[in-house]
Amino acid sequence: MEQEVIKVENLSFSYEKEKKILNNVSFSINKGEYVTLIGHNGSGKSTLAKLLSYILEPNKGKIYIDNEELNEKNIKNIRNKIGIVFQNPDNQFIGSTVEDDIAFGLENRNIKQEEMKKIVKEYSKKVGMENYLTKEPEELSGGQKQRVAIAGILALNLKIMIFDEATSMLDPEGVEEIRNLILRMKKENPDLTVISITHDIEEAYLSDRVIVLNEGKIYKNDIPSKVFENEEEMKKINLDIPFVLKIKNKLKTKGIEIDENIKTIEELAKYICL
Amino acid sequence: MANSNILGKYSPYNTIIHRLDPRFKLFSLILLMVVTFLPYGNYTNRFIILGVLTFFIALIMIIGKVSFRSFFKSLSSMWIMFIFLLIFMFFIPNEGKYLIHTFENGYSLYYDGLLNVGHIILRLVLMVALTIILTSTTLPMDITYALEWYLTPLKLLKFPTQIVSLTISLALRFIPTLLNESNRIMNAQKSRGVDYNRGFLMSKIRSITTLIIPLLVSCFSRSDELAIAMEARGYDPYKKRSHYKTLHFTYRDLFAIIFVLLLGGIMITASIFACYYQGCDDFINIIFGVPTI
Repeated sequence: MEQEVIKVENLSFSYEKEKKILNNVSFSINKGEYVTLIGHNGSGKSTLAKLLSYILEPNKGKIYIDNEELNEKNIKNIRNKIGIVFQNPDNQFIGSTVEDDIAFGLENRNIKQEEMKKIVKEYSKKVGMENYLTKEPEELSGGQKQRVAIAGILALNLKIMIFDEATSMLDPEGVEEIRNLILRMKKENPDLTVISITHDIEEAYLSDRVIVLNEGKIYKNDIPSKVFENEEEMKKINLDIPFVLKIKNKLKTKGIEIDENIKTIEELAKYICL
Repeated sequence: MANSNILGKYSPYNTIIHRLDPRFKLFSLILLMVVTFLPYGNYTNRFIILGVLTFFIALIMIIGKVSFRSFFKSLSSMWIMFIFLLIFMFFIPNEGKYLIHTFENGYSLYYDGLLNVGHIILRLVLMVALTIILTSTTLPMDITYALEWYLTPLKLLKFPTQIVSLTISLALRFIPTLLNESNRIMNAQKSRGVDYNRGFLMSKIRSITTLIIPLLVSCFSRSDELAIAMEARGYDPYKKRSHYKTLHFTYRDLFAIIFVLLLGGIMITASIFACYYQGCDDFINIIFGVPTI
């Protein structure tokens, strides 16, 4: 029996009365799943992210996190279960150095100093920032800052992580870094639930499940290979399909079958060349 | 980021001065600043005392590997003050004890003025040197920790020391970020035809508004996002928080504090002797028996 950690029920939201940004959205996410939420600009995905992190309050409908309703009363409790990585790497870097920033959430939880030192060391290693502990944010790239933010959240040992367009302000290298980090993180801790709201279709292709939003409604909610099956359909809602899949489809028309499990460009290149 | 060098930037060495407790460094800075500005009687006394201080401060600068270049750079803007002081204390007074020369029209110049200017300048230079020693050997974050420590007694009066020190450290943290941002906005406005360098006062002010308004707007949205990020990581201003770093007072600090207190004590005693006990004001003469001016 799979355990539901996030349940969204009939969620609706509008800034003004006439136009609904989100219209009756329902879905649920199980423990340990890696779900990506995609959609073109104006599809309502950023609004959904804000609702999930309780920056906005829904007009109608409910969000349950770990069987607790997300509301004013519960929010402090629920903040101990979800961590959010935001879009702008600068505006979530709170400490003056890398180690101070990783420790910020731990300080808030009143954890003892010796323990904190250990945790900071451990998690900075996990995100590959152990050699940058005393660096200031100005000396780091965007991708490195996001890695620090991820370490700061991982260190709190939370059940759910939300990536709120965490890669949209990064350069391609940074995007790649974060994408690989999420996958590695998932491998190390299969119980961690990850929801990533993203522009990055390549990332969506690597996740367990993709939820496609279009004009405030759920357009598709399925495993990536099913979601991206029909290129025409995706183009209609202004979304593209992953590059690897495009090549696979082209090859297919030429009569060359490629293994279902191949999902990254490197793997594909290896497969074709060997 | 040449702009952020005004009062010296932290230089990451690992000298004895760097390793001293920031609380002690902050205290010594204030004590030594007070000492440089105390009155010491006549000119000989003043210059000898300031000479001793200069010697020790220069020594600390060498031990702490403080960059002399950045020191002289921050002094370079003081020449305007120097000219003002020369005008007001040397050329204008027309009176004094030690005459240099009297012109035919009765206007005369005195050594007093020069000595006065010299000792005021020396005091200011020492003050800048002390500040630079603190900023280049202490991380801004450590200075905040020290401030928080000094503010702790105010907790009894329900003063939110924790909030204040976090606010200060966030402000320090965002200075370079905002400097970068203002550079970016300036470049963007330049590419749209704003000229920041030319024009008279009014047009300059007008062009500055094209920088200030976008910067303010972005500041507000930044602080909004920052607050959300802090809350998302469980920050609650009224809850007890632990500290990742705590300050440790070591034997090294003890020696340093004894030294600074001794130095400061001697200077303060000298000043009291010079100013409050009549007849003692010329202590150099009394102790060493040499003539003074």
